[in-house]
Amino acid sequence: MGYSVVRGGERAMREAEGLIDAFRKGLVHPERDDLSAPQPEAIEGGLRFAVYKVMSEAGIYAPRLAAIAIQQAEGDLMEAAFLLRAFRACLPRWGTTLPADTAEMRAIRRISAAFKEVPGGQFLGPTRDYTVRLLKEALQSGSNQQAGGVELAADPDLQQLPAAMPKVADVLRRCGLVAPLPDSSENAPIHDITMRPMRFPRPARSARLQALARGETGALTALAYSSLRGYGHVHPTIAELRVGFVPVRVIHPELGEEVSIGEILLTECESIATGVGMISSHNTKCGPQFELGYGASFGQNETKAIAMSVLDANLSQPQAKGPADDQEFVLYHIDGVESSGFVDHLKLPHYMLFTSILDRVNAAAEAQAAAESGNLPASGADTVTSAKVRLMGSVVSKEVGS
Amino acid sequence: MTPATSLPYAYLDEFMKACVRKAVLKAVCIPGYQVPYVSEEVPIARGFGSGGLQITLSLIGADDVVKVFDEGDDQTVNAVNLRRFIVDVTSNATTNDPAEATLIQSRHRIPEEGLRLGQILVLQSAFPDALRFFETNEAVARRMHAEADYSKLWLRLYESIVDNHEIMIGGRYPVLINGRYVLDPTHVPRWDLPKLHDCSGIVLFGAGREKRIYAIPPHSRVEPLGFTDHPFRVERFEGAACHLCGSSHSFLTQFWRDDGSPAWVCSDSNWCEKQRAALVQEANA
Repeated sequence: MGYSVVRGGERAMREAEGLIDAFRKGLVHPERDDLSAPQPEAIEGGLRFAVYKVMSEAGIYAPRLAAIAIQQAEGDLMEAAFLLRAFRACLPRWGTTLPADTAEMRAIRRISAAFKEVPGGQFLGPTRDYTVRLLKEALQSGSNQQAGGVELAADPDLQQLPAAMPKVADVLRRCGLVAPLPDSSENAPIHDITMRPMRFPRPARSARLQALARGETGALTALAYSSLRGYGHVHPTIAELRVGFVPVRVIHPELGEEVSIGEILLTECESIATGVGMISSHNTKCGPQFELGYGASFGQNETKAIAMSVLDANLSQPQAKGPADDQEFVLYHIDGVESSGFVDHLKLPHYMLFTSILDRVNAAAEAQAAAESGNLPASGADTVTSAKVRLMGSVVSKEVGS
Repeated sequence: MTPATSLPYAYLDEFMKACVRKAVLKAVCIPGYQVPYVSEEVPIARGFGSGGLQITLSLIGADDVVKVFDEGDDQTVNAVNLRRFIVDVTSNATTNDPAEATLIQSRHRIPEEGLRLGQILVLQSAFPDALRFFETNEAVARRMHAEADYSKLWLRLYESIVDNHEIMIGGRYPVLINGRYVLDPTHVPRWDLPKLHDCSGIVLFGAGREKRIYAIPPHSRVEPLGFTDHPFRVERFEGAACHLCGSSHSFLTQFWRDDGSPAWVCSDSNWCEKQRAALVQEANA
């Protein structure tokens, strides 16, 4: 019958997969023999922020697997997070860890933007915040890349951070400026959104925090930023931002005792929702109090943890009306796996959908032309106004029999 | 660690399968109601049929014969990809012929020949809620469904006629099921909606990204919305016929030949093949 419409198929897909493999191995620049693909060790060691981002968005703490995912995705971090999530979804759920007490965090960094002096002190730690962002060509030469080339301060006092530091939020609570934490024994069971779907209008706070913690860093940052600029009610003051290692504890299934199974690197941020323009405090029976927003993220992920704390505060005020205050708007659109997947699905064929749309546009154009030439008895509006609205049987109006 | 080597039958672990099956059962019991469920990641991207795939993987048994097609075609890349994955994790038999299939996963199409008793059609759904674009707030939309308050929807249909003399909805044409819930039938063409009425098979809708499952049980009353003087209409193909099988009574899609001239082809590729086989048989007889 001659012409046949282009169809995809198994062979084309195999070739496409082969091509992506070849590109990963350097085919994109075949003339360059100085290029090579990084091994997972190099990614885990040298691209730690990529690893943190992927672990955080995948919702699984597994630096080695994150590095493999980044290698496989050629540095596409959303794709890497997706690979790791799909892997995570297959894992059996053994149980829940005990709540981590971040006051006992082995911190590598700890700052407060609210108070100059905080109990335990402030420690700048590894940060680029106050560096001049000049592209350093020197880093490209081999010797500097080695960890051995880094000299830590010789003074042992400068290396040692206190083993535990009280939380700034607790200080605020003691002053009555922030509502006290609910008694931990009364804590509602955690709503795990990977075990039970999130429901609106009021998802549990644990569900909200989990959705935020798994959110895509860029999406969280953009929405938090929109709040700072007035599209939400929160512009916070950071009570405390800390980065460090936190022990993970579980109840031993046989011994019934609390055991530590290792530690994870965590970024935690607590923000005082001081308000956009106007100071934002709400009156409680204890007098005017600030809302506190909470953010936490696997790895050193400061922008994300801060953004999360902003959005947590945004979402704790149901009466606030900015886009960033809207639970559904924020929580349904921050997931990177979902958003990137759905945006990418636009590449799928939509031939039939488009056929249906064209049919309607053509029908409307014909009706328009008929109306203009006076062939239509009256405008559609008049007819419908007088018509008794009722449902049509589904089959009767089919114009082209099948 | 190589995850691929130790995958269970049908990929999902039993916890997930149980979650999906429970949601499917509830959906069948309350036709048109959107049942929320846990929708964890599968190795297929969101928007590419993750929800449909979860249903297929949760329902599939060793004897099932699976058909996967996308926009009516068994050979489009997404259909091939999904089928390949399902076979990889189940080793089940597959077919292109809907008559042979017990479990059919589809995007945007119901087989031209319809469904028979005992078949399950799993449709990949992007937006489970017919009210999504009329009421963006989910909590409010849920209350509207609970109260069967579809006035906003009716009003929009009416306004569409006022503005355009036609109901300007292409796909995702809202249907009322058993006189109770208005349901989003996904982007199947309006052409396919009459097939849902009094259908012998089970139609399940999986919206993975939106974490909802809903269903049309067998022999349900399915009524696309319309007015007496502006009835629901299927797509019109006056004068058009498939350039391969000559059919003028199937859903056609338009394409452009290299010389720029338009032509039509059956969207259901298997149906088209069957028509051609029948023509050959006729010619040989």
